[in-house]
Amino acid sequence: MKILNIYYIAGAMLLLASASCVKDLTKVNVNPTAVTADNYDPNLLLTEVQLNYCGSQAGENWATEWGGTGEFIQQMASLDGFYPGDKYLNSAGYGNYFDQQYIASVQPVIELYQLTKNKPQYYNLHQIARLMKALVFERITDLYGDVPYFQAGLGYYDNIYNPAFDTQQSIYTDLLKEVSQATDSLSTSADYPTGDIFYFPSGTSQIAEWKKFGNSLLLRMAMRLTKVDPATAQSYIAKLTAAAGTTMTSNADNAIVEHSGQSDETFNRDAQTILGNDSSGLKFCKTFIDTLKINKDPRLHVIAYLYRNDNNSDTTSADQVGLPAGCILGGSNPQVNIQIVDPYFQVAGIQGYSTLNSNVLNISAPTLVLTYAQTELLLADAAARWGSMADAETHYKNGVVAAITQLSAYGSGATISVTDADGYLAAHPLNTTGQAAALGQINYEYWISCFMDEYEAWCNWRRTDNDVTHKTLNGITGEGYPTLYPTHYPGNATMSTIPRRLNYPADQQIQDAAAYRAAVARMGGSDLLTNRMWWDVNN
Amino acid sequence: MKKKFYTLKIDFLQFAALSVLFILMFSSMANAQTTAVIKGKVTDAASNEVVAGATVAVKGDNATAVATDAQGNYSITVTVPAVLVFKFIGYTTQEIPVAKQSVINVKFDEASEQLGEVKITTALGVTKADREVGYSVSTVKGAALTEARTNSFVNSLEGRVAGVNVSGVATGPNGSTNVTIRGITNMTGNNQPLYVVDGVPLVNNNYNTTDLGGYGGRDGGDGMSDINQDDIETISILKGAAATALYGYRGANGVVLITTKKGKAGAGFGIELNSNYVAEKVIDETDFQTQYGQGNGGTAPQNQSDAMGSLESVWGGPLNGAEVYSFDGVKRPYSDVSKGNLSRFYTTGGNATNTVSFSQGFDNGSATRVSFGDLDDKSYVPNAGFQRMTFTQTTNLKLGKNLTLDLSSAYATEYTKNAPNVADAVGNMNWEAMFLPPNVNILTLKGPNGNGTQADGEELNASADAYTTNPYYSAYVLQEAQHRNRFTGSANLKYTFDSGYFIGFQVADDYINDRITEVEPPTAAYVVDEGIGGDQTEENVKQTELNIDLTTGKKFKVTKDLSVDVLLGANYRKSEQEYLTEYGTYFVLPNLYTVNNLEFPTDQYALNIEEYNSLYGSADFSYKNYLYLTVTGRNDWYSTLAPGKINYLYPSVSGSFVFSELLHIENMDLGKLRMSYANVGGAVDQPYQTLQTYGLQGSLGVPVNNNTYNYPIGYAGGLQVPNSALVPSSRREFEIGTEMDFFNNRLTFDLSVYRKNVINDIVPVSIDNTSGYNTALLNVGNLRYNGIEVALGGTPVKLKDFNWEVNGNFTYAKGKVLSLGGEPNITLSSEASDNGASAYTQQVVGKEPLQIYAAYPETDANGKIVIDPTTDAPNPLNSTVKDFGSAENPWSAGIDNAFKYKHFRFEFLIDGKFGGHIYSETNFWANQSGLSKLTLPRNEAYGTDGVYASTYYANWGSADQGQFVYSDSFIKLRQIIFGYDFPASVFNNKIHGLNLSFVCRNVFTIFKAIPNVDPESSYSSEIQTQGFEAPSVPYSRTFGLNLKVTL
Repeated sequence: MKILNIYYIAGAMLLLASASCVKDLTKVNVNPTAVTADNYDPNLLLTEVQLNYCGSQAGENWATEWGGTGEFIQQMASLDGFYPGDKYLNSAGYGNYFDQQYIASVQPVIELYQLTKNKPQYYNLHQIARLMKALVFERITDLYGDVPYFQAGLGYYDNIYNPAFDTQQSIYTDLLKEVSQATDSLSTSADYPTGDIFYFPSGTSQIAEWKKFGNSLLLRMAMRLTKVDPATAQSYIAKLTAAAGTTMTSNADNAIVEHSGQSDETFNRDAQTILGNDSSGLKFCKTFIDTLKINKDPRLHVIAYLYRNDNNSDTTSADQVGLPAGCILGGSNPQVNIQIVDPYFQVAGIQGYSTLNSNVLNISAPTLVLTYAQTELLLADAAARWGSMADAETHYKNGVVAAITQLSAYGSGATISVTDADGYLAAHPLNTTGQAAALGQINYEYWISCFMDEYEAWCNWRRTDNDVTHKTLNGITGEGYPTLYPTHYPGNATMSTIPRRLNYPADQQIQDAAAYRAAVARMGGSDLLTNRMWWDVNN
Repeated sequence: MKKKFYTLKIDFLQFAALSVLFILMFSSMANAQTTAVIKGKVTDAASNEVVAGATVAVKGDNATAVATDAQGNYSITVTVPAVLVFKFIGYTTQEIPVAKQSVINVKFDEASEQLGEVKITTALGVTKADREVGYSVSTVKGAALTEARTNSFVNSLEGRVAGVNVSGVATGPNGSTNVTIRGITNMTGNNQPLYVVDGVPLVNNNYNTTDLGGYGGRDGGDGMSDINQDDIETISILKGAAATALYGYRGANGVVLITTKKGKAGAGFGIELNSNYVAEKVIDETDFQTQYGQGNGGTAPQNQSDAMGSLESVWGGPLNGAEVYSFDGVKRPYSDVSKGNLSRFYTTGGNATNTVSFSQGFDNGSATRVSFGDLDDKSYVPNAGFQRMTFTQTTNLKLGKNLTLDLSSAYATEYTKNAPNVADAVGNMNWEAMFLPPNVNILTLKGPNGNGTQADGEELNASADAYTTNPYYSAYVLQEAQHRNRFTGSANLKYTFDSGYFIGFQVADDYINDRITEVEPPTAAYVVDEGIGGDQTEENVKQTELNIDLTTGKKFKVTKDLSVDVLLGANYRKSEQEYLTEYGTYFVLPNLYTVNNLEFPTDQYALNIEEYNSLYGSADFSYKNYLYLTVTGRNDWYSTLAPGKINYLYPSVSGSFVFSELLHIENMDLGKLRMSYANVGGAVDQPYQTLQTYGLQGSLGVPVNNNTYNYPIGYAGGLQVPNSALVPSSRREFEIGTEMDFFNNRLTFDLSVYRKNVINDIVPVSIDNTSGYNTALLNVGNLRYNGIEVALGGTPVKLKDFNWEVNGNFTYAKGKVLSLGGEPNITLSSEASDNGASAYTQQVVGKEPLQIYAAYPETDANGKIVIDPTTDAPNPLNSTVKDFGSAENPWSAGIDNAFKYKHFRFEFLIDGKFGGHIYSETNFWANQSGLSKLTLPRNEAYGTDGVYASTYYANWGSADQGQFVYSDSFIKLRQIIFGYDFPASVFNNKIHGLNLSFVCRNVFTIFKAIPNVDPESSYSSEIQTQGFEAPSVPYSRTFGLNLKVTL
């Protein structure tokens, strides 16, 4: 009886306790200031991805884009170690893009992809997620070569903590497939994503814009294969040009991210990181300024300015001065000491060189992500290579005018009239007599049209540097890509050649050692700026 | 601030008035005296057999005593109120107050203890006889904490208990305390034990805002300084896993059980008064060079600008008494005035505590006690202080013969004024106070307003570096205040059936509200430099902890010799922390420091909730009076870990064998062997780590056709991957021990040997960022400790008038990190690197926990340091990082002596820790700035480059930072007490006891290895900062009087 009693009591207690356990403790462990996937609107992540693609707070903009790529292709130059790209030195800053974008862009775009997968209410949003994912990874692989792709960003979903590096070829194969499938799948009878800051307001026109965006992105990706796989490139071009209006048809189709001075997240990251660090050290390169001056480019006076001796700013095109690449202040080396290389320095000092005009570099300035001008110039390139010179000429004209007038996105201060653009075009007609000359002109215009998207300018230069006509600058007027004169900074990491890829960040050697070693082994055992990536094959 | 405290004082008066009412009310319940005849029967509780021949006596009146007859009956005439004492050999003596009842039946429980045997409080507050306990438990009497006291009673435990490592944090009057029991259990998380007061688990979160990288911040104190020492009866420390097994995951770091003083049934009315006043003075540990003054390159400052630029550069000329420019443009003698700078700045503080308590014990078995405590610490830290008022009551009600209700509550209200910034130079009063050149008198930094400002109110900068704040400005103009209100209450209802079963139900809640205000005025030089126009933070923090417990049990007598005591329980716990913070910059109106006056305010809100369900049970078997076995089990359901997995059952088994009962050894009072094994679970520190969550981070306004469209910006998760597979970590511990008492307890010996394994410790492992995250929280840490604990006590001399008692303890505990899930190490923290220091701590596989790493110069093939001939010093760029040992002290000991001659008492406590290491940023910085004696002698030129001494020593300092890792060993004379106990006869027995003592704490450091600072100068109790020293509040010595009166 006594023993029985205790069983009763124990039983009652167990019942009570298990009743309280029935209450789902899992729900308690959800932060009440946030929500779970079930209650979330993934559109909010689209906004985040589109903003973060333009950069994060952590420094890839100044260190990788402006301190690296923008200087490799001699749009910019500097005397500071802060922006070392014009001297082809190894820099930890080249790894910033890799380090930051896997966190800032890959993580949210994978979340966006996962949260919209197989959900009819997010049908179009999922296609856009695929396009954004492709856009994000395209740049990462274009900068570094083999990178984690298939396993990347899946720390939460698949518990993959040390993703493998995939070959660029396999990445590109998947990117082309993804972009073409997602674009074709977009449907005007499904949802109109509300978090989209590329194209608004939402509606059928938004879906039409995304179709053009997808096809234009597909064109850019296909054209990357010019060197390594022209047949594949051509097959995509054929599809994309079979009907009119498949790709972007005007500047109104440009994918643009607006920024604002509201918060870190909304800032223009170029302005935030350049102005927030050492803005005085970053100057236009002599190559860029001289070329635009020779060509009487109407863009120069809206994108550049310098301080005159009286400390007033001067935007007159003819007064702009570019800084020779690969120089430092001081030292005894006559090839690199700016005081010896450029006597002008003695007169004007570093202030006397042109730098980015606040029209294009300010905390609220927009980022042009993918443009009609680029698209038309790529179509001109494709036509000049594999099609008719007449088509090339049409696309060239569209591209040049669009590239000049697209600056209106930066506001009235940067707006150039169509008349002025036409005037520039009239002065620089496409030379249709020779393929190399035409390609030189087309890709020169592409080089300028990518100004402020230095990554893309460098990618396209690597794609085309073999088969275009270059023009030297010394007093020779004419058309064609300017010769990017290699600099010879002592101890540079490239034997005085323009870098062909960025090396991986140092922490990869520690955090992801095995995957890193495998990737480096595929490049012949070394992780160098001079290694050529898959699509940049040397032929 | 002052106004606020005035209202607190009013509150105190109100409480006092209330309490008097309360006491009077209860007192009036006492009955008038009458004579009564009491009858009853005495039986054995387990067998229900009658007990014949038991003594029934009136307490305090041995003349009135009867014995029970053959049927167990008795009859006795008493004058009520009275207390009847029932005694019979082999049974526990019972005392039962007589009120109105005329029949008192008594059930005798078989005595599980000998007369005079020590009772021990074990898990869940269960008291057991010493002999029954199969694991080590240490007990400290409250009296040990009240004479030479510290603001937090926890600090007073230092040196007293084997296996318990206590170290105060050098962060001001309400600084926190770091307590680790038997080494760390969490390699990267919280290691503080669970504190339980009278069965109520307390919140003990530490508001440490110090940046773990050493970039400054404040220590907001922890939850234990809210307890008034005068309310503590005993502290029982459960160290091993078996001892804490019934607490499950909460006991994984050990448990400190606090039993408060209570009214005693039948004891009548009593008043106790304790009054303590101590003065507090800084201890100046510095021993810097006094030959050279501020300046550069061997030259004294030539002008005011030089003087400001060299405030942290003691590379000037020899101190020759010449008139030289000071930072304020005034010329002063270039001679040594450094001695006394610290005591000029840290003025004499005063700390007064007063406690009065009233108790009333009723004759029906009920009792109550209320107490008021008031603490006012005018700290030696300038313009800082700590004030605390406590009000507690415990009431134990006997409602009829089967039902008891225990009600207890504690209210504390506190004000901490200006908890100082520590570690880095910004806003840290201790920085410049420590590093002033020897020719600068700190009083010259006061300025015309006496508070480190210039005439116009701007900070008076003595240094060219805006981020080195004038110490007077830090103390008097920067503002910080923490107000705390805390209410802890519990109700415990227990019904015992006549058959012996009981059911207990307890609800306990701990509620803390903190309000923290911090103002950085626009006049601070670093605020001006940051261009933020001043800023203010208002933080409101609410913490609650609710515990509901249901318990049941009974003691069964299985056979004549074997009995078993069964206990089953269920617990529900909810813990909540809510943070509401308003921060903003730019004060619009000058000198009005409210958040409403901020131009750019922002709000933040966070809410952490954890819930747990638990079932537990224990069975205590006892065979005769020498063999005991306890088996426990506990199952915890965690809200913070993987959902759906409920099969975590943590067992423990412990046993003791009292061999002295079998082998009668001469002069041995008790000989016991004990052995235990337990496996207890551990949890994570923070909730919300298992599931991905999504939120908002502002919005983007996009202009479209003259309208602005707002696009909310989302985010998913954070930098750490949520892990939905997190399971509890486990602490598995095997312990054996022995306890032997000799010569009528004049010699006691206690030995424990244990091995503790921590398995599946939840640690943040660095993962590749291409996964989308920086870290993952994984169950991968494995750690082991081996330890020995010895407690040896005795009374070497015991004469009629003279008594000498000595208690010593000795601890050895050495840990080893066994694995970290494939990672070779996890970095805990690094010292502030913008001062050129680079040392860091890591958990490293194969080594003791908390390894300190620092730069070490390049060596050649023979191990000789490579000297750069251009500077005669090693090149810091070629240095590599080297392991300089663990921050943990594997050895520690304490010895407490108490002498008593007639009514005089003299006690002193000596304690020490040995074998650990500490990196000292103070010494590094003193070296870099030329203040350290290491920077002597000074030559004009070193090496082929002819560099000055500053470059030479700075190169040595940067290249060999290992030289600033010191042995952390020390021996301190911790406290002395000299007292006189006035005999009650002096006061005609009107006063039952009066004791007056002179007390002194932190008397003297007998031995230490680290120069210029105290070896215990850590600036945070977080595990990440252990092993690091950086300029924080220098230690102090307190001395004064303690008066205790019992009415």
